[in-house]
Amino acid sequence: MGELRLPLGDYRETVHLCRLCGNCRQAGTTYLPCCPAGERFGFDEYYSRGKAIIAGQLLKGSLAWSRSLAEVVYRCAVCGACVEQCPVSYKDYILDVFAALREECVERSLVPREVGDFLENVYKYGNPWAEPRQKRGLWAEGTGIGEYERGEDFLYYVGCMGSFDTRGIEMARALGEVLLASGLSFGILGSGETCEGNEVKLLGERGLFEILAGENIRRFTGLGVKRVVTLSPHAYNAMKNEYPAYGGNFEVKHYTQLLVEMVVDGRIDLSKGVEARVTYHDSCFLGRYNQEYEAPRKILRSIPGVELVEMERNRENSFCCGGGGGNFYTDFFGSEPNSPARIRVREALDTGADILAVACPVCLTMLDDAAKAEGTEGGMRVMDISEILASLVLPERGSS
Amino acid sequence: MSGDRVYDLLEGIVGEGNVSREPHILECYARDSTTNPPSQPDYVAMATRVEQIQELVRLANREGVPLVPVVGMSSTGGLTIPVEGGIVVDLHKMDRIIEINEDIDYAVIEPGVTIGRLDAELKKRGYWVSLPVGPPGSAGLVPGYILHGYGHLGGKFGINSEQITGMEVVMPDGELVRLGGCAVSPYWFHRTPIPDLMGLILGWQGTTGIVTKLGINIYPRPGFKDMVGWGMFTPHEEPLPESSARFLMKVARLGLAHDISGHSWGAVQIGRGLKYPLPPKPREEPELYFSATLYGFSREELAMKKKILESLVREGIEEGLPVACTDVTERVKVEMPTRYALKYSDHRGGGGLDYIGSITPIINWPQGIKRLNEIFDRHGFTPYIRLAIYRGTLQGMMRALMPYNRGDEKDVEAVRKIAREVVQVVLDCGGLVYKAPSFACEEMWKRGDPNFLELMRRVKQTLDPKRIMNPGRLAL
Ligand SMILES: Cc1cc2nc3c(=O)[nH]c(=O)nc-3n(C[C@H](O)[C@H](O)[C@H](O)COP(=O)(O)OP(=O)(O)OC[C@H]3O[C@@H](n4cnc5c(N)ncnc54)[C@H](O)[C@@H]3O)c2cc1C
Ligand code: SF4
Ligand code: SF4
Repeated sequence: MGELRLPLGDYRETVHLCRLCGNCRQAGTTYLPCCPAGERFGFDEYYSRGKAIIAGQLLKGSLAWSRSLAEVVYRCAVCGACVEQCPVSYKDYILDVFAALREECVERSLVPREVGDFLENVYKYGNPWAEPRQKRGLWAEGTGIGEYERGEDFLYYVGCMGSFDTRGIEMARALGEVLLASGLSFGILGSGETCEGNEVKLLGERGLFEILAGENIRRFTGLGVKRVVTLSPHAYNAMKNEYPAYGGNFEVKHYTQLLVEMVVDGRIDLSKGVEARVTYHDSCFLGRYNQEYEAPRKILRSIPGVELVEMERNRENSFCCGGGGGNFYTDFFGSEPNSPARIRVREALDTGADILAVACPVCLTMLDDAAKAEGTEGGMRVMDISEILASLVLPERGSS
Repeated sequence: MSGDRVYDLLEGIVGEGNVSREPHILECYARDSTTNPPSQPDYVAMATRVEQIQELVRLANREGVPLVPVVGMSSTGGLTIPVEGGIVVDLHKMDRIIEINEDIDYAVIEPGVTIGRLDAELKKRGYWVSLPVGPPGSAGLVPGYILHGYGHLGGKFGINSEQITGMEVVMPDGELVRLGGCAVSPYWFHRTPIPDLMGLILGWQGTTGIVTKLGINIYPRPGFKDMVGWGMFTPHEEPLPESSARFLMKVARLGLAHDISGHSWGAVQIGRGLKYPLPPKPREEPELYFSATLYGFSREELAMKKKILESLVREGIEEGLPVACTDVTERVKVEMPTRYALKYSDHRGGGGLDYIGSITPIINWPQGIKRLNEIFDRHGFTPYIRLAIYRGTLQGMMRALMPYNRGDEKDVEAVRKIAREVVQVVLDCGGLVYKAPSFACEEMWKRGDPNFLELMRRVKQTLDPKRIMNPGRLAL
């Protein structure tokens, strides 16, 4: 056996920068809770403050690693709300400390079973559900969306949720069809696609992330891809912010950033409109991680008849659906009334919205399930922006 | 069944998932940001209902296990550190604002309601209350108020505990008691004229009961704000003349400002972006920056207040006081809760913050400030003294803040020494330490009336014969 790599050691000095102030419990301005893990489980360790304390004690040797500790470490959506609220220099290290804690859990074979399964499945099958690779492009059947060919403007990267999750597939098709209707030149990778690795890195498997990033970069480069449009903000984050370090310098856009341009220049015609009160839920990986708050809102505001209303917690102070950091798969937050997604759905209901709009397949699945658990059938609907647009621009879908 | 009887009983009270004895969870309740030595509890229980707290107290009595109530754990002084282990009762999820009565102007809140949340809710309705100035918005309002805390409107409303109108408390035997007007009336509007039994709870640092509801006065929020700033000069090693204290007393007597506070030179420089270590204070710059924060319901009211105060400062200058006007335009924009004190504590690197706060007569501030400066200088720390005057009085807060590196044992030791020396200065100036760590209480009691201490002990013995409530506090 080789020596253990102990990534937490790099933060020996910096963990003490945490002021133990607890500002990471609440979102500024409204002072409503901001941490999904803290909301769900309550004990101080679930907040960033607590994780700084345990990291410090682990480094001092006065606390022992254990499976139960690893469980707490993984019951975090890595949503970045704590980073947003932290008033001191420790904010620059919070996510690195979380990553180091998780990397150590991996090194020490302490990861919860669900995390182990996720990582192993991605390693073997390129997706967390152990679905055969050949099935990856099946979602596109009958849509007319073709495989990417050299010279096309965009590679449409769909990701694991869009390829295999029921709601994700509906979203992937909706976006694909809207893009087709707009006349954009694009293609997909189909069965040649593999996981982009965003969650793999967040779960602490840096080595596997590097393999996935390398594989994707080689494939994209081999096909002559210059521009990528992603369905998921998670993939957008990895490709935009992580891939350049591995030589992957593509122009990456989240689909809302591309669509907003097309709405503005008239390639997408929304004049059909829809009478609806809509509230928008910010995805953490589009919003807090990449400061894109405006594109999705601008699209929604461009739809005649739409009244856009904000939830109390929005933009950088938004409250995560609880799906980040692989929780859409591991389901550590469950479906109890105090699970983050259900809390968020209730907040959306408070606005009186007809539609809770999202721009992420993870948020879509998490919030759609939560809405069912909250019994919203016949009332507020959870829809991705791509689905709303599809209902406006595709004649066969109609406005529903 | 876990095989641990107390754990099982706790689980029976607060429910599965709401109690823990995992070392890594306990570790997070073992410390605060100060240099008071950490100590782990044996269990943590999250309470969400009053009946659960009653049950927890009864259980602690039966088993003889200590009980420590906590909300944000932001109070300095090691007040939430379970020095004798036992059960930490985490109340931060008991966070309902139960009533905001806009006909009688009071609010009733649970202990987990944070200062930020209450302020945000009141703001929507055009109200406000005095908030602790420095802590994060996630600190509880109830713990701050029941410990007599100081608020950002102290110049107008006095000490925070003076705003308390009623209370619901689980006493150390598990009985639920109402204190103040709400004990008799359906309204929580005032604590007089009936006997004021809140003295059994206020200032007792959670050693005589757990407050489950608190009534407080709320006030209409004025729409206009301005500030008048002035510096007070000395060459640092010399004390401010007594006349400067008398000048502050004059400002206080006017009763115009909602807040009158002062900060050491170093603190202001850090706010302006200077990094650690700071150079020595240039002679020509003020030792202390003071400001009076003014509010008004109309521009005219505000302008009038400002005019009066500015002319007072001008008079002071003409009379030869070491005072000069300073610019406060940027600070006018600061809103509560501020993050300034938290940022300040970052400047030395290492996240720790200790402080000793006191209530001290203004007339003794000049000698106090000089001695506090000497202590900071001797230990190589940037002096940060914070002063604030309370409504209608000629006394106020004199506080020494010590940011330090939690990871550096030398820093920790130095701050422990500073804290002890600061306590002596406070007491020599006739002051009282507030939210006092137990070592500071010991020093206060040494100089105090022995019968006062004896009476406190008897009250405590009567209310809490098994000594289960937050033991180790108040040096009893
Ligand atoms: C940078 C900084 C600046 C600060 N500035 C100020 C200031 O300007 N003014 C001021 O007043 N304070 C100040 N504080 C102190 C403190 O943060 C506040 O008083 C705050 O309101 C305490 O709330 P908490 O929820 O953190 O209390 P905790 O620390 O959780 O509890 C404080 C004490 O109250 C007891 N307690 C908690 N809940 C109950 C209950 N329900 N019943 C009975 N006892 C209970 C605890 O056992 C403990 O003894 C400051 C703190 C910091 C870190
Ligand atoms: S990343 Fe999100 S879930 Fe994790 S500790 Fe921070 S706020 Fe909580
Ligand atoms: S992580 Fe930041 S906000 Fe949270 S306790 Fe530490 S310093 Fe405060």
